[in-house]
Amino acid sequence: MQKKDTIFTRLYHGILVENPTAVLCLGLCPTLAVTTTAKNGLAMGIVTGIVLVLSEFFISLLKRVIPKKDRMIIYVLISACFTTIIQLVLNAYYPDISESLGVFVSLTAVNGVIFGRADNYAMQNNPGLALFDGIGFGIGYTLIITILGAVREILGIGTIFGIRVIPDGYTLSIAALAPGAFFLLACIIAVAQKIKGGRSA
Amino acid sequence: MSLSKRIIRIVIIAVFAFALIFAGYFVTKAKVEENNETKIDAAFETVYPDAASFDEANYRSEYLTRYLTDNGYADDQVHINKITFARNDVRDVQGVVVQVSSYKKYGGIITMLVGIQNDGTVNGYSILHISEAKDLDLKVKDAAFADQFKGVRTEAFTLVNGEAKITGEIIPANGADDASQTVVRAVNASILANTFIDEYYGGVG
Repeated sequence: MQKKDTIFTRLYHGILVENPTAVLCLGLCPTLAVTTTAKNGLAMGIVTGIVLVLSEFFISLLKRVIPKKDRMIIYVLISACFTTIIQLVLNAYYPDISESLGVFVSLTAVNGVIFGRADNYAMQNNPGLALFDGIGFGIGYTLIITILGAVREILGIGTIFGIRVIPDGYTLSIAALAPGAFFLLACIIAVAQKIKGGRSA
Repeated sequence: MSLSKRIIRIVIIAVFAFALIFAGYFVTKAKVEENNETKIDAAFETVYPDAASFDEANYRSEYLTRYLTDNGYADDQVHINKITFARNDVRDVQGVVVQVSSYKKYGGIITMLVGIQNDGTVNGYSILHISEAKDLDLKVKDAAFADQFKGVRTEAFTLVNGEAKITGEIIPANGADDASQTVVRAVNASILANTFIDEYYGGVG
């Protein structure tokens, strides 16, 4: 597999074949918690994507100096560093988004997608490929989390990115709550598996 | 690899990480402070638009804490941070602006300003900070919920499901029962704080 690994395959795998949410089922906590609106889903996806890209790149860059036995400590250190910087930027320039995403921005530091890619890919490959692996998985994660947010917002609130598409009184409020998030995520995973041609759907 | 080498490598990476964080902090510090000041100014304007000036009230906070506790609002549920007098052009006290922190049942805190007139009428509230917020909690900022408090004079607000029938009954924000309860507690404690100021200090600091 590694022989033919290219930038294109990294993007393709991240977005479709190994989509972190719909296929690998990683990072489900923020996926379920913050996707009450499409805007939140998109913002959370972008935040996670940026941290993922930077973390993968620097972990790959430092892989020869990272002690194997202590690699998890370094992963946390690097992802926490970038998460903190992103949070500071959000607080300064996008305070509404920061408030809306709440504690889940901080929790990006321990997102399973980041550790999964750091350990399974960045530590074994060069920084260039790791960078594009991060971009591919970041886009894949953002795509699913935004779709989930959009579906929940349409069904639960009747709007999409704040624009009303379903009249008041015809919404399904459970879609905006936790049970709705589980159910709709399961539907998205099933559709993704079908598209991917998997047999587990 | 020896233990000392492993420790040195981790420490070096940690130092670089902290250096990056500090750089980020200093770059964004001024903007964050500016945002906070703007937010507080806007909050004062929201809860007391008629006031010409504000000045902080002097009172013994331990007396106020005891007063609130005696009235059923323990300090681990709600805490008054600051009381500010709202004055008109001729510096007469029109009412108070109470900065209050109320604790959510499942963790997190809501800090807000509550404007109350001398006769106890609530002008409204403005939320400064919600920690550990989930998106639905932010519905307590919406006018549909917040406007229920505006211009109402009551000893205490209560949450009701369905329809509000009497003065002081509040319908919770949809999907944000805990945050609604936290806001109601904060407003009720602020009303008590206004009464405390009146009873013990005659309304003037």
